[in-house]
Amino acid sequence: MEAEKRPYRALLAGMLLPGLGHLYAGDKRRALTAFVLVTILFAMGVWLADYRLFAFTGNPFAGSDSFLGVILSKLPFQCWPEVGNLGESTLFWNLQPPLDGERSRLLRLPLEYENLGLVLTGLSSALNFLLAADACWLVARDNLSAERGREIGGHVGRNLVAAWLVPGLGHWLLGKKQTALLVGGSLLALWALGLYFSEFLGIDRSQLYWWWAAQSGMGGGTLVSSLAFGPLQVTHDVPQMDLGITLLSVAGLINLAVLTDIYTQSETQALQDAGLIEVSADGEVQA
Amino acid sequence: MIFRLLLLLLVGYLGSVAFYSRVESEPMPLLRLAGKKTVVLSLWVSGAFGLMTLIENLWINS
Repeated sequence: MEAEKRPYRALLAGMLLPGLGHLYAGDKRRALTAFVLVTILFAMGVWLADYRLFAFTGNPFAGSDSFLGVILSKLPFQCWPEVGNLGESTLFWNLQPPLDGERSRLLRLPLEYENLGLVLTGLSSALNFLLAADACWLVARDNLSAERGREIGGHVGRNLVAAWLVPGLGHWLLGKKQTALLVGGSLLALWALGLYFSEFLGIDRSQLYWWWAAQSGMGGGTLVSSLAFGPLQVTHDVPQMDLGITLLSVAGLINLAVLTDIYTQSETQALQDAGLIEVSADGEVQA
Repeated sequence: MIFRLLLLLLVGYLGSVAFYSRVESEPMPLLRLAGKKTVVLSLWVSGAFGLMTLIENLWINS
């Protein structure tokens, strides 16, 4: 008898290498799509930014003598959101040019497509994490299908990516259109306030590395704003800069919370459509 | 001061609407829940600020 597959293994496999989670789940088409899409975007980003995505944080285990320390120093788990694509990040982390005097000097010089490169590596890794979550759902779904002898559909991955790209779109696709407008409108308003108070300067990855990692929870907003305003120069004092950066980051983090809800709601809807559960008017779930 | 309080209420409300969509998906109850949470949040923030200002004026600066 074939051993039952574990959903968390699909999630970890997907984070280790784009598409590996879907391969584990048995969906070769999605595996190939995820691998090609994420790998091309990520590699292009590394090339455009000339490995600068690794220049903002240091590995806490660098220089360690212990066996575990040496192993951990080879893994760039301090890079966020690149940790969502840990395998390819590790590959490029270990391929990067050595940080000698000449390299340190070059890192201080501006690079024409640095901003675009950093956006590509960051957002493709965040996207990869969502695709890994989709693979996790596929395994859980197939296990339940086999157990109950019923076909289960569902669009967990699609809804997650949609909600990440456009706030509220996940709820819209789930048929909750009024909630979608409220959630999307609120998050976009927070985002707009953040841009306004930071005078459009609060979304520059090379200057605001950790803040940008939080902002990337709103993928579409981060993509558009980073490309449009990331290259802007700070030429004057911005009195409400801290407030603006915080609002942008809070919007990104709240959208992450919304994404966890979209996963659960998509799952519930799929099980409901398959007739495996019933949801009462007050939202109570019954098997 | 008034501007900051209004901003706190606005930002608190917008954030609460999005965050509490996890526990309430019907629009009107969600808006009411977000309103309640915003009031509590604002009282915590502005109340602590008001209390500390009062202590400062009554004892420390007197």
